[in-house]
Amino acid sequence: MKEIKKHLILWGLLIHNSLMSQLEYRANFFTGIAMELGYFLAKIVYMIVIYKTGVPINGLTPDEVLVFFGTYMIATGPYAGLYMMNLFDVGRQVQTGDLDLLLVKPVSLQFMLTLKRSDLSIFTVDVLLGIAAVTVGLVRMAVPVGLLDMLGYLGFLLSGSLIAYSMFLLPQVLAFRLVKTNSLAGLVDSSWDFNNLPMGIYSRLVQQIGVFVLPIFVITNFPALFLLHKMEPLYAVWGIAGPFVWFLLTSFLFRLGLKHYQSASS
Amino acid sequence: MKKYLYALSLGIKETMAYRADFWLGIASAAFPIIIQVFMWQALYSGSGGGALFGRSYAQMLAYSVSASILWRLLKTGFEYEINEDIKNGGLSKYIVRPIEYLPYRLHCFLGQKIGVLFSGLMLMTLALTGVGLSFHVSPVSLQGVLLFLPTLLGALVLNFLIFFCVGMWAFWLSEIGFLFEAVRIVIVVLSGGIFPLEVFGTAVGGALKLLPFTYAVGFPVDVLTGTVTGPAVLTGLCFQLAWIGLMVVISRFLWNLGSRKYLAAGG
Amino acid sequence: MALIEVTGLQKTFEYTKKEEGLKSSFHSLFHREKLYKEAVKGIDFSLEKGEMVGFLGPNGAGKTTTLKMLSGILFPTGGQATVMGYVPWERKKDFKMRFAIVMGQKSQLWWDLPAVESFTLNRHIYEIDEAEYRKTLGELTEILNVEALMGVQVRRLSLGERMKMELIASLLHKPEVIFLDEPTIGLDFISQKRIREFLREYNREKQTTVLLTSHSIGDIEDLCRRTIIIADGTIVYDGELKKINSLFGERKRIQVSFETEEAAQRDLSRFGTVCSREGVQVVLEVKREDVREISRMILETLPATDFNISDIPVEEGIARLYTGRNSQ
Repeated sequence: MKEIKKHLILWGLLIHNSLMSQLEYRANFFTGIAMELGYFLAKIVYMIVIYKTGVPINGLTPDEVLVFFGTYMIATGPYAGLYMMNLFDVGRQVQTGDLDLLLVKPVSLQFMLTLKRSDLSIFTVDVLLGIAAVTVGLVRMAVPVGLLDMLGYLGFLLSGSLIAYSMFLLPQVLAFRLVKTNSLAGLVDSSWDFNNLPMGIYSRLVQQIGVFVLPIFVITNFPALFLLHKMEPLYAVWGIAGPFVWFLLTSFLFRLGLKHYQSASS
Repeated sequence: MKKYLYALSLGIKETMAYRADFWLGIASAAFPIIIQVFMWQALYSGSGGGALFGRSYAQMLAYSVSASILWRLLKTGFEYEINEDIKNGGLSKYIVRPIEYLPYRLHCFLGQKIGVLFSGLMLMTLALTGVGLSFHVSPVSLQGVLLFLPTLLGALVLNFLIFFCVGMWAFWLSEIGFLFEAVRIVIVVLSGGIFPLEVFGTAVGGALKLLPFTYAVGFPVDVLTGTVTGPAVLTGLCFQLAWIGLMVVISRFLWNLGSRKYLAAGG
Repeated sequence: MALIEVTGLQKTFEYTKKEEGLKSSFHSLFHREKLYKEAVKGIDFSLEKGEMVGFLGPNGAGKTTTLKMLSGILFPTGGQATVMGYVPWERKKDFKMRFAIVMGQKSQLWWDLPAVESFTLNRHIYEIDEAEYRKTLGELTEILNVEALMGVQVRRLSLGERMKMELIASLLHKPEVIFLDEPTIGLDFISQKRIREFLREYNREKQTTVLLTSHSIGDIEDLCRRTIIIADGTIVYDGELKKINSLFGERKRIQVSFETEEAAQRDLSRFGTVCSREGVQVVLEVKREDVREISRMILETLPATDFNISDIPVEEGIARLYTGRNSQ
């Protein structure tokens, strides 16, 4: 418990330091926000297409699809703002030996390695845009949202982020075996966009794989399914258990991989 | 002329080195394509199989696949080099030497792209065949392919000019940050790189077709997939050429303005 | 029991052979030839509490690798080591709380922020309470004379100033053992001197055990009574640096200057080994017990204008160790 508190305080400090560093480079700060808005534009065109077509998409109305899309944007906040850039940097840190000075600190290495840098501007932009999209969708449908819905939604968002964190960390464990993972990172990153649209558009088989094998759909589809009262009981169980299974598995493999760490030469 | 040919060969050589990057970029196009294919499948089956946005199911799939690959194929990166040249004083040698910057960059770019164009087009053929076989449609016609080639050349040059102008901004901005990336993603959307411009509605889509961007991606793809046929191809080509001409003028203007500022600042 | 105890420690790195060209790249996809490099070949030594020991050796000798094993960054291939009773590579939290490593070529500071932000982070990482932290920080900044630089971004600091900040960041938790890897690398003469002075004082005052690697002999001559010299993964010397030449037998140098260059050209091998001959100056190496006799002979038989007897320089002794004992 004490350790958890310590790490939470450290996370706060790391976010604070990252923000301070970011503000040192104003151009990067503002153009970074512009870039995020650009990406948002590229994703919202999917919604434009769906609204313009006006037909239900595998049983979901455009407004419902908007809720899924908004949830995807909200989850993209922590993904792009808090952990993704760290995960993609693991390979570099292993290869250059930057890990050395983290290894000797009395603090969880996985924690320091995967949460060191953050980008609050991206986080805020994505989360706000996402909340706006979800709100618009819900208001247009005139669906009442109770406290329980909100809490459950938040809970599934958190567990979704945990599973995403674990899943995207997994390929980086290969970096310890001196494999270059930066090329892999780009490929893995583009798979994030599978959540851009509800998983209902895919075939049943793809859905099952995306839920139970490579749980990419758990990340943003589950919260939205819960909010719209469309969640199957089995999914709900997996939505709660899955993240822990994945997190423990990845952490275990991470520690295993660490034994192969050879530092940089000399 | 010989020195520009040298630049061309330099570009080709460079591509060989960056080939892995290129293929990875193309591979990462696979996911958005899959997402779009599934989306269109759901939308077309929801709408009863009729045309959407003036396209049949087959045409739409062909559009998605071709556009996704094409914009990545034509993607530039030299605007960062322009920024470097301006910031680190590397530009001075082009101002002093009897070699002009714009043609030099153009030949580098063309050289780079010739290296990947062939394999990129092969991939596009493969992907279109795949779509055709798995969805039982015939995505392109021979006529489309033949007319596509000149529009592709125009798109290549136009894309270069657009991003050359974007690169010129570096004369006036002290830091670039992620600006080029932000601009690129907006241009991709506006050029029809993700969806055909018709999805924005007749008014907005029509207005966007007056801008140069669509002639760098959307128009060639429309010609290829047979959405634009007959005299409309000729009109489009005229628009494309007109924009190329205009962009040359704008590039020259920006370059003259910028290099004067650069020289005044001491190079 | 000694504070640091190392027995038979070895490290072998495994790497794959890379050849140029696409063809061999494809080939290596399926078949990789494994190569091994023995960086540390079974070394033994021990350190008592409060000792400050220098670890000297040429590049690639295995100094840093040893230090990395002792701080738990690397797993050894064989052998044992304990530091304060802990096995370093078990990476126990208690162990990490009690030692520090400073690497001259790696930074733990946040580049774009004032160093104090990194210190605060370390305060929480090492669970140092506020009052204690203030006190230690105050002391360290005062001794190192960096109070005025606390608000300056690390990237704007000079190399020497940055190293001082690295030291502060590593000493906030009052480590009982400190490993220093090339702490003065790249620093100018004055900064080197300041850092050395600080380290000497700190070691004396806090009785901290320090193991310091360097390829600068100055660092080690200045700071350490005891020096361990490592070459090609093995320890070739362990003792006082000044006494290093006793390894090569008791020898002395005689430097003679002549009136003319012609005089300097004559055959002098009957007196001893000629080490160098430059212009009118000749340097001879002779046995210690013969010094008196040979000096007399030289002065009597040769037209010498200047005459000087000295020890063999430490650097040369070390250089001989580096190139291998066999060549002697």
